[in-house]
Amino acid sequence: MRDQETYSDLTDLFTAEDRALDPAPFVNDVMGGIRRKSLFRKLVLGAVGMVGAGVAAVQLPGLLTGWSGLDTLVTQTVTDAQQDASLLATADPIWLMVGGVVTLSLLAITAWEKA
Amino acid sequence: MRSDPDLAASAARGHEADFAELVRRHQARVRGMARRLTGSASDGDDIAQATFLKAWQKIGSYAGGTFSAWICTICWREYLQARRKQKIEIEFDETAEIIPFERTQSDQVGDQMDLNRALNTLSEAQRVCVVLCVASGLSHREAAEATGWPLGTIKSHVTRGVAALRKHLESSHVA
Repeated sequence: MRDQETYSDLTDLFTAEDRALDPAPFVNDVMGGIRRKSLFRKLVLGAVGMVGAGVAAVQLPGLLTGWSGLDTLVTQTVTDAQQDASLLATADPIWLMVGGVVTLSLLAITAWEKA
Repeated sequence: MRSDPDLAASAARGHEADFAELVRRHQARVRGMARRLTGSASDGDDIAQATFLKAWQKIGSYAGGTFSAWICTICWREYLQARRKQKIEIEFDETAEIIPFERTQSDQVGDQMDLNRALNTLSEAQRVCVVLCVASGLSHREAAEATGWPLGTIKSHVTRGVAALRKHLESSHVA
């Protein structure tokens, strides 16, 4: 610290020169760069995530087949039925009931096949 | 007013506004340091910008202590990286010649001040040590940690650099 006191007058000169620099454009440039990088990162992660989810969805029937030991056609029907049921939920209650019966029937067939 | 470590901790959690406050607080020091190291306003500002972008990426690794020393260390590394890109080799010894960045005419206009002219008369190693310790306010120890040079070397370069700077300033005032 004693050493630094011997040149504090020079430090003051340099500091005065630095203080004359306009901070606003520089801060805007830096933060703009950070936001651009952040946005790019989010877009890349989002795109990779969507692709991953798509691949996972395509692989789901095959995965279920491997897991339950059932025919691909049966598991495909089960997954289709789940999607149909969610669609039916927005429609007429009678169709919801029909969907429920279909789902129960498919589950029963699946259980029977598995046994 | 919130402390630098407090703002840095908040920035590490993703709060951009707090990092912007840190940039506002330290931009003058970092820009001044980069401009003096490169000898150019535009190259200096590019390095200062790269410094803060790197700091944003590494803000989680800031473990307290003097924020200015931390950011100046990043600035020093960015400067070295920029010099490597320009394929300019520096020899950090007493006899090393000053090899400035390629300067444009507009950059040279700002160099007319006595202080910067005096700074440019120093050897490369002295100039680096004077910029870090005298202009940027780093302690000798912080400068030694930033550059990786021995503490004694830093002290010696600062002492000689300051003496040469004073001599040049006095002679220019007399003239």
